[in-house]
Amino acid sequence: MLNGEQWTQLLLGFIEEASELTQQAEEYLLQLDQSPTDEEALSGLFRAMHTIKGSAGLFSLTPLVSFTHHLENLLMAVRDGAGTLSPALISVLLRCLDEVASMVALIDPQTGELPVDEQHQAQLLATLAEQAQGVPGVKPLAVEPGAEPAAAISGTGGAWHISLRFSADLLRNGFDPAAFVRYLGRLGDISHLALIDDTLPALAELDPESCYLGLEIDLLSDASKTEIEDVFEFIRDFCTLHILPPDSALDDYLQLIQQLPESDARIGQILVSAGLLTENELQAGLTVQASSEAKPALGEVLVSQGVVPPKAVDAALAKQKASREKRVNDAPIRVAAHKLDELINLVGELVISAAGAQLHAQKHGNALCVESTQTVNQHVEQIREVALKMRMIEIGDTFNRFHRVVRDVSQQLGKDIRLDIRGADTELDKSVIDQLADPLTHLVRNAIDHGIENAEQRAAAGKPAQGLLRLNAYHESGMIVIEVSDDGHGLNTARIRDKAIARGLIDAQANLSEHDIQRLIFAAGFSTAEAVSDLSGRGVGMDVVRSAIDALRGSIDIDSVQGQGTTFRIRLPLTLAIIDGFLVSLGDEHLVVPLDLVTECIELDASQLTRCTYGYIELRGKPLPCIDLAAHFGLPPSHTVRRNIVVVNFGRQQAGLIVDHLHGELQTVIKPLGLLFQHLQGISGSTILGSGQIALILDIANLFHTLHHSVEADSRTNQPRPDLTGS
Amino acid sequence: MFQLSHPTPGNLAMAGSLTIYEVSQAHHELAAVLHSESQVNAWRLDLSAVEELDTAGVQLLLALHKSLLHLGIVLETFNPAAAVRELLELLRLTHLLPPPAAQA
Repeated sequence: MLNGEQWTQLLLGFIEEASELTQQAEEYLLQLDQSPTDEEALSGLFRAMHTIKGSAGLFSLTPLVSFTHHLENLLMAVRDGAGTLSPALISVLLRCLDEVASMVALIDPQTGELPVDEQHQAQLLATLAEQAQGVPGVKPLAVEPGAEPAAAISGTGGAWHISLRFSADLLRNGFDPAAFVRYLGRLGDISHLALIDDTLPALAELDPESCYLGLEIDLLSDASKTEIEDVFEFIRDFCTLHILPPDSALDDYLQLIQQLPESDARIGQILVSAGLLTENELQAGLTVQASSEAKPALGEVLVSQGVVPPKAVDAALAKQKASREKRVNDAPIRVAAHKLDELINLVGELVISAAGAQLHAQKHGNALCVESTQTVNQHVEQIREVALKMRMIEIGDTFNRFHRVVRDVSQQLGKDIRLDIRGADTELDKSVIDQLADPLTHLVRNAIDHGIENAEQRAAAGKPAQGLLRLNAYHESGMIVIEVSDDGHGLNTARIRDKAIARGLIDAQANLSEHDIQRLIFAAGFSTAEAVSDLSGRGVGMDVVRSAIDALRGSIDIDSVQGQGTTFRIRLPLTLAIIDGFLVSLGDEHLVVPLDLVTECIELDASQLTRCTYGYIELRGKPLPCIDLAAHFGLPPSHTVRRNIVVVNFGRQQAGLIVDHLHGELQTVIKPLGLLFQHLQGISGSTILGSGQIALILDIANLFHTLHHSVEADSRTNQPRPDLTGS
Repeated sequence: MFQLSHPTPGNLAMAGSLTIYEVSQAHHELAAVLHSESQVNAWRLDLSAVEELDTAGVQLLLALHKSLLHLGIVLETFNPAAAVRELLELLRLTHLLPPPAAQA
């Protein structure tokens, strides 16, 4: 029996599958928008809707079934050549897909309940019906939900023959074969059905919860074999399934007769009564097979009768085998993300303990021991790499989502924009990709809204009427680079400068390079849009994008040429789980500074600094704000004579961190802080050193923030304001 | 909830659900009746109050039919509820339904 948890698991599986399908459907639809006659996209779209409808039916998600049913109906009519998808119709269909996606998201996996906004759905369907008027034969609203358009399926003459033998556990696992028969009825017309109950015992010996049944079904349908197979997807483990296409060769039917457990005559009669074989064919066929002793395989029968040359049979068999093996090897396995996280976490522990073992071995000095721990370490390294790779997914899916954004936004603004995607196969850590979606959307919307000009402006500038937006991803020295570029009018540096001065972000006399001015748009509270539109420019602008990228330990940069376009370039680490750090210590405490933020290390001249937490030193003629980390974190004051300053860069700001000792680079696994310590300021995580000691990873962004505040507080008490912008 | 009532010999009525959840109980009760009642000529089974039926229930009916046939007893069903009729027609088991002429 299926318990609640298993059911929830199944339902969760469906939710995941359905959201993937909806997304696929959207891609197909956008493809159709480009080329309305693309049959492959059309049938892909149809299949996606059909599968969602079918699976939703298995979970009794009636609203989803009836809604997708309308879409499926329309698509079926279009597919059968009854019309084409007009751009208006595609727009409505896109909104319908949104509704499907939101329904899927609203399914409660515990109860299987699905609340719906019926009014909204009715409106959508009414719009759909209106738009679909041009498509003859479609009356999306006239069809009762759940009623089947059996007439729409054009019979192709012969029937599919489907043989099912259920395993004893089928019913106990909560599957009802009748539900699958009902569902099969949606693919076409069941012309013939025989329930096989030959093995069903008398009442006294019956185990009522075991399944003793089989089904022989003949289906008039123009569905493909895969579609029919998919019907039984859920019970694949609980049944033996044979499917013969319409008008199969006599030998195929004979082979089926042989394969089924019942007597040859019994199955033969079923096939005869279904009209798939004639009595004579059956008798002749069975005699041939019966007469060859020891029942050779059908292939041999065919060969020996000279029907098929042996080579052809071999080739066909080899091909079957190869394709089966390939399917097994290449088939992806769905793994819950948290299981992968668990694995990576464990691998992280392993890295640490292996490093510890190596340290001890080296102390001990036993050469054999050192050697074997080294081998262990190498393998651990490899495991770590492989484990991290498992989290990598291609960025293409994320990029493809922007087809829709570009289409919607450009339509809204009346601009004609083409999206060009490159490097879709570049792989990136899944968690990074997830967190990247928002900032990317912001950049894309910005580019369409502010970057690319409207048609008249473009014509005046001598550019092609169609604007170009490009998303590109590639690897560059251990980092991932993602570019969002447009061929619009570029950034107006004069305007940015004026505005920055007006907002007090820079001094009116400041002498900044073009590039520095461009970077000002990332400053907090800066928004260049003069008119706040619905799309972007709500005052929260590029600074939000920048902090999102910062949170991913990445960086963002602009490249803009006036009149020619703008490119935003995001650089991200390959993974969030590992960091290249720089190890420093304060007394006995070890701290890690993210290595890519470190610009230089200098020795602290004790005479330079006043004994306070936040002070300044002079670095090459400029004031460098410094934090005495020991004082900042409330550690006992240092007694070390020689102290050091680690100069770190954060964005355009620069500051020094005063520490005791420098230990050098290390690559380390980041462990998040526990619940209790999550609100700690200035610390972003921890890691364990080979010696077993804990090192805290500094949150540089937060330290800069603190420093900034103390500097502002200082400046109010009439002290000279230090130039935080360094260089 | 499955209920089997057995007012007079040879007359039975099923009520409620006959699905995978109830088949064990139903099987138990039917087997008991079968044991005590193998002397009648026919079983008349009222299916009017069956609210829900699934393949497990159908299988039980088939096994009952088979066992009765073995004992030379005729199984006559009558007044099949809509759910019963729908499923038996779907599975082309019309011999478990009353013949068209005998429909009440």
